[in-house]
Amino acid sequence: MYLSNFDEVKFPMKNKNHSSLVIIDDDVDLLDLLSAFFRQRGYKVSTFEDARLALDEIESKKLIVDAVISDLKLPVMSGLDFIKRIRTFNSVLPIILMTAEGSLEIAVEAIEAGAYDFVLKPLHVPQLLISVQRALHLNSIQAENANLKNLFNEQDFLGLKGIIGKSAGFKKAMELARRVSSSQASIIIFGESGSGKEVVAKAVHELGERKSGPFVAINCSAIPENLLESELFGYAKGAFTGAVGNKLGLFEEANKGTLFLDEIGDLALPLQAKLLRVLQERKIKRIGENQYREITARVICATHKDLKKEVEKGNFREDLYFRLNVIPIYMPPLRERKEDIIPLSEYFLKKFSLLNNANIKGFTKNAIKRLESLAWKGNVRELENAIERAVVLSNSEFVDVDDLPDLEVESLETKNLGEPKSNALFSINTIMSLEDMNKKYIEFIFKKNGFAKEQTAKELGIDRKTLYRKLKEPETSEVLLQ
Amino acid sequence: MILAKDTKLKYLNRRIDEIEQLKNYCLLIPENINNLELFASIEMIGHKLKGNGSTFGYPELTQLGLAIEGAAKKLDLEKLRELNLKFEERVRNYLRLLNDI
Ligand SMILES: Nc1ncnc2c1ncn2[C@@H]1O[C@H](COP(=O)(O)OP(=O)(O)OP(=O)(O)O)[C@@H](O)[C@H]1O
Repeated sequence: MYLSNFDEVKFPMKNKNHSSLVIIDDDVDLLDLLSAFFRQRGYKVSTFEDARLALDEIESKKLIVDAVISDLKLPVMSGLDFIKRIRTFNSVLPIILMTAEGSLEIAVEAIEAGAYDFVLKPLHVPQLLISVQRALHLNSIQAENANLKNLFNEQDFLGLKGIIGKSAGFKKAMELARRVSSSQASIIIFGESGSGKEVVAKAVHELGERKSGPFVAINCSAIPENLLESELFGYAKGAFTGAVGNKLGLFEEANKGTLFLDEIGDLALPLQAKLLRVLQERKIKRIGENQYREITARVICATHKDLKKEVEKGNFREDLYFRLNVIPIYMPPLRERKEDIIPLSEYFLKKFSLLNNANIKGFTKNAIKRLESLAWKGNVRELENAIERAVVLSNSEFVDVDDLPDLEVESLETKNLGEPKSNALFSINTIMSLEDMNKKYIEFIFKKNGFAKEQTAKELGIDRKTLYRKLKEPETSEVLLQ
Repeated sequence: MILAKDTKLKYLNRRIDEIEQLKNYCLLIPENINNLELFASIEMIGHKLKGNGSTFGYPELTQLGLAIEGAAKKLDLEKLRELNLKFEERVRNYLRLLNDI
């Protein structure tokens, strides 16, 4: 049986490909055969009998190519030399070598020179097709990674990747971070939840001498007091029931690096005393041990609380406050630095559309207006979540108002809690246990506040720790995924 | 992989050209002092035939290509003449079969 073309039954051509291939072989029969085979599958094919000519075209960018198939044994320039020359200016272009020499040494040499694959002659053309498809897939992943890298390089601040902002408040905080990065002074970062306190702490770490050491972060309000102590200081084997081995504490883990203690305002008083001692003496003792160990980590603290007020209320030790408050850095909430909203939104849009393989180019005018007018109670974190969601939901090339969360409408609903609405807290017909209602109510307020924990805890009249605990309960935590 | 008749015809006709080339080389070798280059050209033809025969549906030609390449490397003119006769006989036979369809 002869088909007018290639055997369509075995090699369906559904997924037409528009990639461009260069095929190099001095065997014109094979050149003809391969170019016909790939053209029928939608590839753009350029053929060469001489590798030098192909090299010139690729190097001068006259030819934009996604993958190359080349014979190894060629009269003027061998396939191996061709690869070596290509690699001097392009490290990612996949090159598949074909050869009638089946020796392992040649295969190894080819791969070492930078060939993506090695196909033996006589060719099994479908096998070559698979190799080409794989190479192109790999190439697209590499291109995506390179794009992401470029994005981070492009948008950097103070040479740091992925830190965006141009408002005066943001610049002031970052400039201060830069200046203190080379000093040993104690730093405390103030700012609302999600405003970028950890970003500042990381910047201090990255810009200073400790850059090559670890950056270790812990949220003091998210961990129960007794566990926090062993997390920070570590313990010796047998220090308490369950201490089956020695455990390194975070102070030690962050050796030669930075330990970031977030929500320091929520630290219990006994631990505050211990922290003060560590900061003064630069030594720690693991729980259950008598021996002191020197610590070299730089400690950076942060809080959303007004520590001065906490001192007045007796919740925070005054001596620790003075010890920490040598250089305070204040990161303003997003609503007070509106100039940052659009640059941040554009950055997150690029980032998430690359990550999700979505071809989203920007925002509509209305979406921009909306972004600028929202309160962003959960600050940059909330904005980041909103843009990620919009990228996933958007059906067009431009994110529109409808793709953005309905934050203002939701806050109106809270004012009218009594009226049953489709997405209101609960309907009149629903009978719930008190416990379930409690959980639902916490979820509701948390969502209404754009996942800002501080505001939620405040409105509910509970402390942040209780809120964290409630949010960690399995039934409640699903709200975080919405 | 099933190839179009035209593709195969084109392939086999090119081989006929090659067979004529090989005959010429074999004639030239005894009277040419620089015959190493001629052997190298024959080796190249054998190498290509080894690489494409099976792909076009003729595994026997791949075997012949291998043998031609080997004989050229050994500078074995007698063997080359013999192999070229076989080569011609096979190709003409394939062409006949193809034209009968
Ligand atoms: N200037 C910025 N540029 C880019 N991303 C930012 C910026 N500021 C914050 N983000 C992003 O917003 C999110 C929240 O930031 P971060 O964790 O630093 O806030 P935080 O103030 O430490 O919050 P919390 O106190 O709740 O832990 C992170 O994903 C962070 O990468």
